[in-house]
Amino acid sequence: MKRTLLSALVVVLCLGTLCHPASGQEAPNVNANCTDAKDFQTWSNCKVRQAVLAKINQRGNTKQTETPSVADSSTSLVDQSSASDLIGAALNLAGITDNPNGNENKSFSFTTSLYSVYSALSQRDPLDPSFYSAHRRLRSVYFTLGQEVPKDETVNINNRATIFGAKFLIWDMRDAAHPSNLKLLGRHYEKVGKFGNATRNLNVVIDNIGEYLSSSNIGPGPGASQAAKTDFLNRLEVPAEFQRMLGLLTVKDLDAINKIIEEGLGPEIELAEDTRKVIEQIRKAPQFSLAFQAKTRREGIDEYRAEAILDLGVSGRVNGTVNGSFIYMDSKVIGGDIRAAAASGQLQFQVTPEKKLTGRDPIYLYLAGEGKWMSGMDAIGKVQAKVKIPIVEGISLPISFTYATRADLIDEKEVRGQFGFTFDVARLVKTLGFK
Amino acid sequence: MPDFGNAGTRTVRTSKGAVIVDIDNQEFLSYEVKAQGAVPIFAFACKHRALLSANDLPNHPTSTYKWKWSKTDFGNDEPDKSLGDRYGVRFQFLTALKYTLLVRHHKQDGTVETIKDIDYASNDSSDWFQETFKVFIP
Repeated sequence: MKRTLLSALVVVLCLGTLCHPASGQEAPNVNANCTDAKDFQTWSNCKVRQAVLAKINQRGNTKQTETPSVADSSTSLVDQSSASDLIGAALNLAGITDNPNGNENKSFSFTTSLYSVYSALSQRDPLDPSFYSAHRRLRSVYFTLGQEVPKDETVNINNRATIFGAKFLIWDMRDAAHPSNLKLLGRHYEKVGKFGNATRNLNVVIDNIGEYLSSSNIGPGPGASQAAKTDFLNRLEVPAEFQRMLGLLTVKDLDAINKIIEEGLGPEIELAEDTRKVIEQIRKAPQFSLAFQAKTRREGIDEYRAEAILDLGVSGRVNGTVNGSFIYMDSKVIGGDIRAAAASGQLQFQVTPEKKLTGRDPIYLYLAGEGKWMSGMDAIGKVQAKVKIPIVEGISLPISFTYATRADLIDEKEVRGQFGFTFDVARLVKTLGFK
Repeated sequence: MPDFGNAGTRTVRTSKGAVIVDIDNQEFLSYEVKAQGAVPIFAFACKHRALLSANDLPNHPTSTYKWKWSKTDFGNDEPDKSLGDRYGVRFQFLTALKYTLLVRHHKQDGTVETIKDIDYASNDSSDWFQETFKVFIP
């Protein structure tokens, strides 16, 4: 057990090191001088961005891609109130356990929203903004279907369980198309009246850079004709030409360009700050959902769970989730039914900043606790620590360690380690460039 | 490495840095923005003022936005004949995933030249990109 836990810890540390800069500081996406930029447009944008220090905390962080917690082998002790907008898939491959045989239940599940089903049936692009905004309610309903393979399947294949469930987002203030968020975005538009003003301002900055280059020794020089300037500016958009001309710039030229940028940064910083506020406000908004999950077998005990889930943003990088559930275990043995109530809570900490270098998610640390009270049995308490490590865009590796005062039906204390992979199909599709 | 921001990709089919538009002889520029995601957020401006935002255009939020820039479309916003003017469209990825910008120069002789035909994509909400080009009046 110790060796397994140690191995898992090494994996966590290694992956953490590989995935993110050791300092935890935001890594620049392009080198400081933006020399990787392909043409004048990307270079000038990059130069301005490099000069803006604001750092934005973005992307929704409660889209659940793991197998729901009703599966014994789920790495998630607490369910969250929303799932991926399109299709999410989760695979729990193996457990790290005290069990000397090393066996644990394995599970696989798909979660999809009614929205994605409807868009497929109506053959509409789910990412069409008008369709997306018009069918917000359909993103309030999610379905899950999966299977759990028991650790002793070789003994009895009939113990394999089917997992199915549904989740209803009753209160979803985090949907971008929610009226309150549309109002917020409307204010964002006006703000940088502001947004347009930032655009105007950046036109001035980029134009001043263009004029500087045009007047410098790489351009047609001061007082050049419209045709000569047009030709020069067009050549700046050809990657090979631009790279050649960039190589000819002197330190003095670069200093002058940096000065032009610095002089025009005010509206950019203001816009970046407003964007950050909008994102934070949406991410911290509450979500409340009701869920039903079931695990049925040909033989053995079927399990049904009704659950209420509340997500609340606590602070910038901390998200809180509270679950309350009722569980009914339907035994084939007369008088063997079990009823239980459970309450759990989880704090999600975003350890590393939002993705900055490679498009991967940040590392998340979760601390969770659960209490379970079953008819005719002693209460069970569980605490869990979990780390979720991004592997590539759309794929994460969650590793969890759980301590339970006793296993569900066996009167003994249990320590269990678990790892698996989670896939956000929507993001994978996006990453792979499919429409 | 992203092309822009934290996770942006920019796919260029056509990109000119400057164009001479004879607005006194009915030449004009047409703009088309296609968007994917929840709510597109973009703005169009010259060096002197903000000209329009996505929410100024019909049916917002929608998948396709179109507008025209000619001598009369934006009032007194006429480029200085000697200095020209720079026009830009800024795309924010706060609640959108992908944009396509198509800018065409409609000439006096009826021909149409593509100035910009570019895709921008990012799933990082904080990303943005501003595509610009210079316009000269003969």
